[in-house]
Formats: sequence, C-alpha cells, structure tokens
Amino acid sequence: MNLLRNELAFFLYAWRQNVRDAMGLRLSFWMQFLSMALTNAVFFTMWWSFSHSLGVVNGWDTLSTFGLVSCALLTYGLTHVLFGSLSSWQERVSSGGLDMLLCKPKNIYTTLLNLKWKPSACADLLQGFLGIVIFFLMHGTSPWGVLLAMVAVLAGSAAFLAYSVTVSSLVFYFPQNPRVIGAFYDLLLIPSLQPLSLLQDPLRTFYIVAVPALVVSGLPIEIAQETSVTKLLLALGVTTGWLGLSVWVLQRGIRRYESGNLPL
Amino acid sequence: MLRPLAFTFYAYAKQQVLFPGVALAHATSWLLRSGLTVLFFSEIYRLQGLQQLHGLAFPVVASSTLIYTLFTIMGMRALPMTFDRQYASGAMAMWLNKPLPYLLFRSVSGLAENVVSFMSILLFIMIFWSLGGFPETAEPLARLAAGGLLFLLGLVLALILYTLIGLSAFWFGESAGVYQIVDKFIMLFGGCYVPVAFFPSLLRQVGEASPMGAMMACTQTFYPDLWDNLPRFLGIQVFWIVVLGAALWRAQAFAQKRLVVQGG
Repeated sequence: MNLLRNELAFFLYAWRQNVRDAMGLRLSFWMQFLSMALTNAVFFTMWWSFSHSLGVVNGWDTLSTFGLVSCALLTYGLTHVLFGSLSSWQERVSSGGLDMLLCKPKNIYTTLLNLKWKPSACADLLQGFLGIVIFFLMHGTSPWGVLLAMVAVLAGSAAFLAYSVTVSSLVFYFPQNPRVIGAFYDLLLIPSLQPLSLLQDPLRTFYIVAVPALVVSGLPIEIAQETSVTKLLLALGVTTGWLGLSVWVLQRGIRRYESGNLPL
Repeated sequence: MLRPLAFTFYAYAKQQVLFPGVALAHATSWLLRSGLTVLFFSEIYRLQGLQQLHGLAFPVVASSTLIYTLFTIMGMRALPMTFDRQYASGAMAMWLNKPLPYLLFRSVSGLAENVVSFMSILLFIMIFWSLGGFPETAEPLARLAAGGLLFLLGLVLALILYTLIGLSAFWFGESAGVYQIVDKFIMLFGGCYVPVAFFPSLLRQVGEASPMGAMMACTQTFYPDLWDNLPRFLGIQVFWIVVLGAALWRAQAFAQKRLVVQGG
C-alpha cells in the first residue's frame, strides 16, 4: 500500500512539473488549445452533417453520433491530459534514450507515460466533457445511466491507454522504424471517431475485442442509451484484458531493449 | 544530382529487404486501416440499401478512401517528426553538410522507406478495382490522368507544408504541437474519416480552398463533378505551392542561421 501511495505521489509530482513546463510557454499553450478546439468543432459539424444525411441506421441517429464524437474526445483528452507522452515515448527507444528511465527506482509503466504534458489535449477533454453533458441532457439519460456511462468512459480511457502502450511496445521489435507504431495507433484512433455502433457482427466484435474502438467511444453511448449493465461488464472485461496485455508486452519489450547509438 | 538521388532511394528501399519485419508490419497496418474503412462504408450502404449517398456510389467513396491512403503513405507526414529528432540531437548539421539538398534527400528517403507499403496499397486498389470496385465512369483514363496530376501537385504541396511545420522546431524547440493540429486538419479535409462530399457545403468549400484540403484534391478523382472543379483545384494547388514555397524559402534561410550544433 505504501509503495502504491509513493508511486502515486511521485506520478502527481512529475505531472505537476510537466504542466508547469508546458505552461511556461503560455502563448504556445493557448495557440494549441484554440487550434484543437477549432479542429474539434469541425469534427462535430462534419459528423453531424454526415449522420443527418444518413438518417437512422440500426437505431443509431444524429444525437448518438454527436454523443459518440464527444465520448471519443473525452476519452482521448482524459488519457492524454494524464499521460502526455502516451504517443511519443517510443521515440526514446529508437534513439537509445530509455536507459535513464530504466535506472529510476519507479514504475516504468507510469514513468514512460508521464514524460511530458500535452496542452492540446485540454481542448479535447473540455469539449468532450461539454459534449457528453449536452448528449445526456438532450437524450434524457437517467442518473443511473449517466453513472454507468461515466464508468464506461473511464474503462474506455483505460482501454485507449492499454492499446496505445501495447502497439507502442512494438518499437522494441522494430526500433529502426517507429512509424510502424503510428500506423497501428491510427488503427484505433480513426475508427473510434466513426459511428461504429451501427455495424453488425463480425465487424462489431472485431472493434470491441481486437481493436477496442467501440469500447473507447461507442459502448459508453450505447450504455447511456440502454442503461445496460451487461455492456458495461463487457467494456470492463475487454479493458482488463487489454491492460494485462499491455503490461505483459511492455515487460517483454523492455527485456529486448538495447541501448546504443542508432542512426537518426 | 539524379545519381545521388537514385542512390539515396536505392539505399533506403534496400532497408526494407534488410528488415522485412518492419516492412511487413507497416504494410499490414495500412492494409488493415484502409480495408476496414472501406468495409465500414460498404456496411453503411448495405444497411441503408443505398445506391448513392450525396450523389456518390459506394465504389467512388471506397476509391476516394483508398486514394487518400495511397497519398498518406508516401511518407510526407513523417517529415516534421524527423526534423524534431534531428534538431534535438544536433544530427541535422551533419545532413546539411551533405552534397545533396536536405529537403530533396529527406523526401526521396521518405518515399523509399515506404515503398513496400505503397506497393501493397497499390496492389490492394488494383485488386479492389478488378473485382468490380472501379467506379462507373465514361472516361476512366482521363480521370486517372487528372487524378495523377492532382496527386503529384498535392505531393509537392505536402512536402512544402510538412517541411514548414518541421521548421517550426527551430522556433518552438519542437514541432509536435503545430504538427498535430495541421495534420488533423489534413486528415479531416482529405477525407480520412468521411469523404469531403458528405461535408456541409460551406465546410467543403473552406476545406478545398485551404492548403490542407488542396493537397488532397486527388481524392475527388472519381467524383461526378471533377471536370467542373478541376481548373479550380489545380489553381488552388499552384497558388499554395507558390505562396508556401516562398514562405519555406524564407523560413529555411532563417532556420539555418538559428541552428545550434551541440557536442562534437
């Protein structure tokens, strides 16, 4: 228990320092925040228009798609605000710069993910949160449904984190080309912004288990709409599996790590 | 000049043979990504029993998505990250001393690094088209030629824009923040999530007029209104190439003055 408290305290300390670092460049922060907010606004408009022209597909309507985009932004924002180096730590492996981190007497999983803070993710978090509140209000979700959906959002964030760590750990196998990671990362990121809930099996199962895009954004909205405990348990189960896999793959990867001067 | 460029291409393409795992993983991730997006749209058309949506038949939407993938895979997106790495490590000075223009070298090596993935996607497109996915059109060769021209001009524009983003590392210390935002707009206006035909009219016009959307005009090769829009697309592409090219020329001169070489 002491160890856990110690790790958490260190994580929060490092996180605060990273935030201070990033906020030192205040103009850059606001520039990134506003630009990301504008991009997200375009996202909302685009999906709203697309959904509107499609009509209702498999019970999935425009409001559901609005909720889905909000949910995707919320999970993405939450994950990246807390773990700013989630999608960039693998560059250290390819340049041989992981040694310093491995020498720290701290948990490597959280250390790797907390190397910097990502200011632009604040816009995702804020807009995602506002969007999902609007969705709950317009849909008339019950308090119980809201509670279940928020637990599903947390599960979705954890699934996003676990998937990213898992595919990023491929860098230990392909240190010469970290771009491979980016391509696998996009494999989750892009579908999580598409209304996949309108799909049927086997694609639906694929997007829940193999690439958990539905867990990240679709299932929380379905859970809010149907107040479904079964779907929440499914989301939690898949997330637990992905978290376990990410820890295992990272540990296996670190064993393969060799420091050295690789060509840049 | 051509000989060293050809050698650069050969040397980087050869890496794909030396590290077949990397090439295979990269190609697989891209094939999965484009295949799944095509499947997503095919499901939408099937579920709604649609022949056309916003005037586009499914083969047109699928081809647009695949052309987007083919364009993205050319490696221009990786330029800013390479700039960041080389700026931070001081390796850029070494490359600037080579008897080959740095940007030309970077773009040729980037193309060569992705040659296997490019060929895989090209093969996938050929198979898709030969299996009946080729859009019905009266003038297929003329469209492909026009699309090819838009593709090439788009590549030049992408090279200039991504290099400009990369050069922002000289002022901000890293280009990741600017990159994330501009890249997201490129994905949006390029039709990564939804083809631009499904955008609201105003948003589509803004997108097409912006450099981010202009570089991806080739995704509209099979749109029914291509011939009406072609002169406008070409004009916008040339306009941005000239304007951003001039900005790049100025920025590069400033950047080289600001370059600080550390260590020995």
